[in-house]
Amino acid sequence: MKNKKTISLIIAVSFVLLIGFYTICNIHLIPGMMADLFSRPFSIREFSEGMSEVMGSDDLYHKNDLINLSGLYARLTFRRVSNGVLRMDNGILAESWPFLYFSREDKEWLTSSLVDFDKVVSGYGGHFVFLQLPPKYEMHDAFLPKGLYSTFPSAIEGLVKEYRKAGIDVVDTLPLLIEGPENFEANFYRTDHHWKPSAAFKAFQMLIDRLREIYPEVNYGNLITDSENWTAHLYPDYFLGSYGKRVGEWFTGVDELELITPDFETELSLYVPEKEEFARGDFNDALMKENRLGTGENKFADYPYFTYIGDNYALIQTRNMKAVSDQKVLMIEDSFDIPLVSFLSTVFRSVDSIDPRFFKDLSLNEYVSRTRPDIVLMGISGIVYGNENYFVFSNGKDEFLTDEKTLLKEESPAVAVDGETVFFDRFENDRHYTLSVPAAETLSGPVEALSAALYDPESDSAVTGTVFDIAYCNKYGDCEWTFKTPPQGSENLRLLLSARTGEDSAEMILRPDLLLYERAAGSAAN
Amino acid sequence: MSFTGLEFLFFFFPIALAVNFLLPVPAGNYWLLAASLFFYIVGEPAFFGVLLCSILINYAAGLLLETLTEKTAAKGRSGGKTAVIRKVFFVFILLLNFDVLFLTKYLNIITSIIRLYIPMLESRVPQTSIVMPLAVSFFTFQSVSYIIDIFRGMPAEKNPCSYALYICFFPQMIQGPIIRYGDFLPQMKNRKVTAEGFADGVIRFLTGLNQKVLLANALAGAADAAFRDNSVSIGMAWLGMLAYSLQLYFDFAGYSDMAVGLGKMFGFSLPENFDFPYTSKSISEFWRRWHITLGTWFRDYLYFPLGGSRSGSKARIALNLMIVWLATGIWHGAGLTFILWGLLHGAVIVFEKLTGLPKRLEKRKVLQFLYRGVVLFTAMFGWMLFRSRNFGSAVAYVKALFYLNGISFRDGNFLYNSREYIFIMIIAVIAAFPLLRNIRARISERGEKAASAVRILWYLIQVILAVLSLSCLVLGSHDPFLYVKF
Repeated sequence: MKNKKTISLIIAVSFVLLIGFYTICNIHLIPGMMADLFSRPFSIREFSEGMSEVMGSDDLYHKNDLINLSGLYARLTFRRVSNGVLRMDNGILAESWPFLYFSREDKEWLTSSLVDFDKVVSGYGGHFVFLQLPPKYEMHDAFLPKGLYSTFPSAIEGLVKEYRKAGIDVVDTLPLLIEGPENFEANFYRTDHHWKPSAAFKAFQMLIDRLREIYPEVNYGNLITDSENWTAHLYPDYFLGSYGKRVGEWFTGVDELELITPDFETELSLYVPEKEEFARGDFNDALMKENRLGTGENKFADYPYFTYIGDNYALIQTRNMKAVSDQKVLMIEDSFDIPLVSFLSTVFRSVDSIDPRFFKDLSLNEYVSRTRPDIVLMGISGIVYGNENYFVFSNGKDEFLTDEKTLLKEESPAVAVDGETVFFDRFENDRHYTLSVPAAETLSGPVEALSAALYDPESDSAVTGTVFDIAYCNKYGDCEWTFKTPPQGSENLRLLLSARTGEDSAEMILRPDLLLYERAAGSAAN
Repeated sequence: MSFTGLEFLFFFFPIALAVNFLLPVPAGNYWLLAASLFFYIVGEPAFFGVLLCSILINYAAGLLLETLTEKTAAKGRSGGKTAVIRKVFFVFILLLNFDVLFLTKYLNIITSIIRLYIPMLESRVPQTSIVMPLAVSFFTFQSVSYIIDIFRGMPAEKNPCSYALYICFFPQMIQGPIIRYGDFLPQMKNRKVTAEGFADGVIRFLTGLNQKVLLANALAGAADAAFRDNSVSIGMAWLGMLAYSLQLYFDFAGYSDMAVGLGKMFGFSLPENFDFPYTSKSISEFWRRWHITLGTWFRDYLYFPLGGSRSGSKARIALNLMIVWLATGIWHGAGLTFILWGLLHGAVIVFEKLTGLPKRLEKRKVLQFLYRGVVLFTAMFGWMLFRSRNFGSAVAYVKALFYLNGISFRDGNFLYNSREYIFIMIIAVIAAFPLLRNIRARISERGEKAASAVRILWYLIQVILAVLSLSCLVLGSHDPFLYVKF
């Protein structure tokens, strides 16, 4: 009896200590919970949901170790699925539900959306190419567990057929990437849903080959598309991808990171408007984000796939000061395109990239109508089919800008160093304006930086979502910035210019003239 | 809030336990009441008012009923007008309680059936979409048992907080076990947390947690794969039916073990709700091992008042049983599948009662073994009805079970899921039988040292498994208990 009492005491005390220990280790979550609670009007439901969210957050004590353990439990019980992630025969992770279906109505809607967009692009003389990228978990039934098959390949194949039948220019990367099962591991990350940069490079080559057919007169740089002129940097056992973070390191191991960078000389810039971040230099300095590369130590926190560019952004703009092609490119992207856009920027003078999930400033129809890219690409993997942001090119009240424009001002303005000059202040409500800025210079030398913003003195802030910076132009051609004034209150708005040169001057005159136009908008489409 | 939620395990529960430990019993009961109300309101803020009203109304009704009972008794044999008032009031309160259940649980399906099958009423009868309050079936049944027991002579509770604690004591409020007030009251007054009781509670709690997370949740995938659409192969149909039967058992039994374990940690002894039901030799026995407290509730408050087995004729006994099982089916849900489920069990129990077959098979082991197979199939078939989305899906599933849908024996779905879940299912089948319990008991019989060693080893195993459970819980996937929807 005494023995039983002692054992009971040991059990009771040890249990209390274990629970107490883990509770105390998570006490740091309470301030966050309280802060979140007091930051909004109190409701019990929100409090309850807030508690669950906080306990499910990454700050939970040793959460990553527990995730690793859950993956181990799945292995120990001979299961191939854990937390919605499937481990294929070759150890590569994929979604556990590899089914994709398109009804006839779906196909018709998708196809007609692309056809309508194609008309908008070709309407101003551009060319639209649809790039079908390979979603991962549909690649090979050979690697799926017995009894499981994927409908993705046939579904996408059927869809691509419909696109082609409707006259859409399609570059389909699937045949290239599924040459054989051995290519699977070479093309896709083990623990992430993305393809590797080497696969993106093959798609880059395919795309350029297609563009050579369309534009035989354009030089796309044979050396640039030759993989011999690029170096692959490998970081073994480096990171856990999106799937890996859900199942831990012990479910199938970790990934080797691959980064491909050019060996040839480059001079690029990257602008991310939503972060007001600007980087300039060679490929590594401008496009590769070391803060995303991490060190390989914190496999759950780091996501070095986004070493290229940095993240999924609503809009990014790359400019190439040594481009072989003058063409302007717009990429409508998902995250698979991030390394691809980086490679494209080594060829083209100007590459803008929009992620429709986040870009809400304008409809895609409006964006192409204003910026008039020569080549519009839409590169999507199968994952985003079903995302309501894709294939919606119109917002229902598109305003297409015509070639009609009225010159409002043509002047060589005096621009102060580290200050601003008001270039124009007689704006009207709800109108489109274009500032045309040729490569500028001052009396004392080339302009190092020139920027323009539509400024509201009452709120002391810029009005439009983007500002203009001459770095996004280069010496090759016109550089224009089109913006729209708000529906009301535009009487006090001012177009400000500021500049900086290599020399320290109190005042400079910009040459040649800057031109400001009012643009006419066409009737809304769709 | 759920027992398997991290906020419960590492904030609510430790705080509730710690404060309870520090307070003496009367104050501790108030603390438990506050904690229980908090537990409910955080899980279901919208219907907290329904719970409170139910508590207040039944508390007041209990007092009034007790007064009427005393007055009736004082008036002598017939009781006069007071007796009539007492009965009418009693029926009124019962109907009021069942009304809440009816409105929140059944009105939606009744209006949809009316609109579907009586077209001329479609424009006059609006489609309701009432959300069922959390735990309404359970707290309604506890309230009703309280009222009925008072009507039968039990003294009413004077302290509203004590009554409230009985209704909403958080370990058992959401999914049972259903406890009678007469059993709860003395524990409330005299509960004491001992090391042995606490340790027993710890082991029960951890065992339940592990059953729910490591077995029930793991088997959910196989069950979902089978019931996802109406065209499955015979192999997948049987696999899915077995998987769901095991999932439901470990989900509910796991919850009950956690509830009993929590009760013990607070000094309460809650009734057992499961006793390895899949070892039953008859359906009658099955219901003495599965959701035991629900079965005894219906027995005591419906079957016995109808006359029970002493009704005289076999026809009357059969009728009583079918009424009870129809009510049991309806309690689980308003759909046709639940009613069929109840009638199925009722029919088999009637058969066993009237033929005395289980008793006759006691001496014929082979036939008894075969009949166990029939019992298991009946139970599993019933769970298939439970799990089916609607009657049409159930019919399609039955066709699949008996190869009437023409789909090949082993389709890809079966091949994939059988390999994926075979190991877990083997573990689950072993755990569904008292093999490990019997082994522990056998070893413990060897002496105190052996018993202690077994106990501590079992505890350590449960702790290790609980760490694995925690690793599954942090994945953040939705993890509701299945019986919550009843």
